[in-house]
Amino acid sequence: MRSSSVLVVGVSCALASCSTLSVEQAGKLASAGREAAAGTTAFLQVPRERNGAWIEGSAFAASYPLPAPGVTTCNRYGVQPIPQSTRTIAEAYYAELDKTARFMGALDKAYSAYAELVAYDARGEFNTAYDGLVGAAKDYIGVSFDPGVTAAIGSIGGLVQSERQKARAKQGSERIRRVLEGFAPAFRAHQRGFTGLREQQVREGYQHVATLWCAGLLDARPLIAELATGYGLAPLGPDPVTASDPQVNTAIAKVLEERSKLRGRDVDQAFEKIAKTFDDLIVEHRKVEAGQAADIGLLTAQIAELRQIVEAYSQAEPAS
Amino acid sequence: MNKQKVLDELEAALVALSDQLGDLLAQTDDKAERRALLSRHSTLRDTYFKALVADLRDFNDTVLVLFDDLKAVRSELDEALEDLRDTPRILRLATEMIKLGGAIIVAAAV
Repeated sequence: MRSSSVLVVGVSCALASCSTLSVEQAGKLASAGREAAAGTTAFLQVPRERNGAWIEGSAFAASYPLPAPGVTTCNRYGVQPIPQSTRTIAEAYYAELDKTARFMGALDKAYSAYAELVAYDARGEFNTAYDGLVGAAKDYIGVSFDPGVTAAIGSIGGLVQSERQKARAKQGSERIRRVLEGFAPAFRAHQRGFTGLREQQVREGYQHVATLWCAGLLDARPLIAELATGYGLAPLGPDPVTASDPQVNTAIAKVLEERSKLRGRDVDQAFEKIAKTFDDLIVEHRKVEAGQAADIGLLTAQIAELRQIVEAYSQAEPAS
Repeated sequence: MNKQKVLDELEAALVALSDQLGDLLAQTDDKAERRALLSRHSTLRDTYFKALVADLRDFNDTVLVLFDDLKAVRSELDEALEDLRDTPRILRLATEMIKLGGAIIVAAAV
């Protein structure tokens, strides 16, 4: 969508809390928004990035005999290679995630342009980026999505330079915020769509790792060290701990089984934290627009945490 | 009624069958039964993945009836998987889950 009309703002700034608006906070909000978009994009890429490991892990586990009466095998879950039908559906799933990633790309551009709009009078760049963002939102939420603001930011007259800058910051913030308000509920509505396949990758990944462990190809010392953390005990010696000891073999297999059950919940929690970041971003936009003190520090800390979560999520480890 | 509830049922059935698949295979030499177990597991996973991707929003009367049946079958499957003695029953229930899940994906898609 290309906005055709141009809004000229004259005295409205005085009525719109511009005088107390902090341009510095608006700039920081732009940085936080870009970080949120980048973190979410990284989150969305994880299932596709782990696709190869998922397929190859199943191929490895499936090379061991299937369980059968009288047969001892390391493929104790009955893993089969991932068939073509499943791979095709997974590709369709990744394509769905790409739609959201495209919205995140447009959001990143809009925040980048917003930072320039706030810093200097880059209305042209902002209006172009905003049109791109609205287009991406319509693609994501549905063509009926209406941010409620159709006018591009135009020249702002009748005010001193600093007030014009604040007026631009307010108008730009309102536009991005309205799009985010449409995006946030749609994003939450897709939660299971985002997390379901990744959860299954993680669950099956533990089955593949259990095969590797049983086959004597892994060293359990890091896992044992994790279990002992905080209890004042350290794992023994420099030698690898492998499945050659039947008791250790069974014990580690049990730990992997429990982790497999718990980790799906971590995936959901990771999504929830990302969704909350967008909710909080909307709140901070409103504060900036109202000339109130925004808690950008808290938002930045949340986004930093989001980055850690994405990293942990890609490794099927707890988001702690 | 929403997509989440459909996904919950399909996922629970898939996880339960995945957890027990190795033990089920370990107790039967019957080739047809073994092939059927692997096939149902794989197809149930495909059904769940298709439901994840599908845009399920039309929860009409037919879908609601199908969903009630899906819940009932899932509950029966859970029960059958607690006691692994009746593989034919487990196979029949897993097949029903796939049929009902597929029908819901078609009937509720917009």
